[in-house]
Amino acid sequence: MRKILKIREQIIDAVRQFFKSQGFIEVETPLLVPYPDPSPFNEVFEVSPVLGKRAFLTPSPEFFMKKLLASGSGSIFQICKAFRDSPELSPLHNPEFTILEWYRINADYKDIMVDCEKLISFLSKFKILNLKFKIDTPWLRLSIKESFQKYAGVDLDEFLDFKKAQEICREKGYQVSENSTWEQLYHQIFLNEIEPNLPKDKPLILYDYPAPLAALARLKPTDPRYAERFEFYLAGLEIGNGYSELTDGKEQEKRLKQDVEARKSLGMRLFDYDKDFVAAVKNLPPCGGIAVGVDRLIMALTGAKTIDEVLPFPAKKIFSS
Amino acid sequence: MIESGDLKKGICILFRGEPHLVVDKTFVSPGKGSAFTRAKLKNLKTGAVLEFTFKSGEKIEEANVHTIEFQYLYQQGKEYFFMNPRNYEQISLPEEMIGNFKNFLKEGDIYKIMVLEDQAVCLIPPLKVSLKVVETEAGAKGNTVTGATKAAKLETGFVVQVPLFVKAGDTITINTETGEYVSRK
Repeated sequence: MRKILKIREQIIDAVRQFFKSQGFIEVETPLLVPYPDPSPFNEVFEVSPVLGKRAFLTPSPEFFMKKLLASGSGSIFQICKAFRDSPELSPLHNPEFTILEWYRINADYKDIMVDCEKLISFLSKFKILNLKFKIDTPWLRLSIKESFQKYAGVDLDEFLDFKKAQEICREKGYQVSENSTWEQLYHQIFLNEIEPNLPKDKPLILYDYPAPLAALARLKPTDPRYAERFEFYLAGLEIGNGYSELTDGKEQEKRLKQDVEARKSLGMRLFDYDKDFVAAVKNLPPCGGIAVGVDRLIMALTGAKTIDEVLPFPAKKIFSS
Repeated sequence: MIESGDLKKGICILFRGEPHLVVDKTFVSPGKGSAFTRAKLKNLKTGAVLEFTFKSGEKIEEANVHTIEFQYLYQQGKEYFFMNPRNYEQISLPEEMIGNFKNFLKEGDIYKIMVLEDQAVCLIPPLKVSLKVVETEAGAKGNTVTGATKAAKLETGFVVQVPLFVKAGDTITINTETGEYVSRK
């Protein structure tokens, strides 16, 4: 137990040292908010109202960090708790977890990829860790399109068409019902044929995600079917999710509205989207940003197989009957 | 018909037309993606094990298995013999179908066995069993606070760690998944 406390302390300390040495300011933004990110992929926890308004715990500090960026903060980072409600717990998820987010101004997702390489190199120097993989840079970079071709034999450009995607999945023997969304078909192939075959002995960056999975990333100016989004994997675990941040307020508002509609059709919690955030996006300097699961990062650096191993008080323990 | 969310360890389903036992299941959720269920499946005909990730809400057909109660008779080599007390029919299960539970089988006790088309598929082990301690050192009296343990041999021959106050002749409850002491009767 003491060992994991020590490891967590050293890693989090080192993360702070790294960003301070890069000239970033450490910030703290609210975890209790009236309008959380409506992404239908993360359900939020609702708590008692504050000043008569419904209140929620943030699944990510992104919205408020972007408000800081829009008001001229310069490059910033934050290490804080994030909260995501889910019907079932997986070995890699805890409803309350530690998240690291950083935003580098006058940069794009490629610069953030380099930040990741430098950060992990810096962290790997600690002897207390148990690295089961090499961390030579530059890391392997694979576009999502390349990964679909290489591991699933699928042309992602074709797959972007919903009817074609249904056809391809049926041919592969997957169940396709009238309720199956494009995102489900995409991820079913990804989770069954691609992710298990990705190299686990070295870090990996997957980049250029299809536009429907853009989240808060801007679309590629050269090919708007894809977005400037990437994820990096260590020891087969998805650790971070980064973007060239969207700075188009209209596009951002459109996505937020789509997310609210998706919530309606999925029977999820309904709430208004953050209009101050939309205004901030209009004033965002060009920047790249990323969210990293710190507990997962610690898992990858210590060889832990489940998130409970790196948490002193996992939810499964404290909330069990 | 069940849905992917209903999958759980120990049930039998038809996967790609063949009967499979769900050996394990976890919930997976890709970053910025919906919920999926990943199941480890064992083909009951070939024994091959595979993993498959189902979307949520997929319709899955259950395999036509029956659970029948059998009485454990004896072990011969790597085969374990059971009898159906209703019709005296005998079957044998190879050691792989019993797994670690072989340490807790007690002659004469009744156990649930999953049967598919008249073939035994696997033993469904109870999560906890009560067994007698046949051999253990006398523990230091009054030493119940420190959590120290000692070895105890059960009537099945299996050795388990128990608290110091447990004596030979006591009946204790064991968690069959972890092989750990739970409580004393």
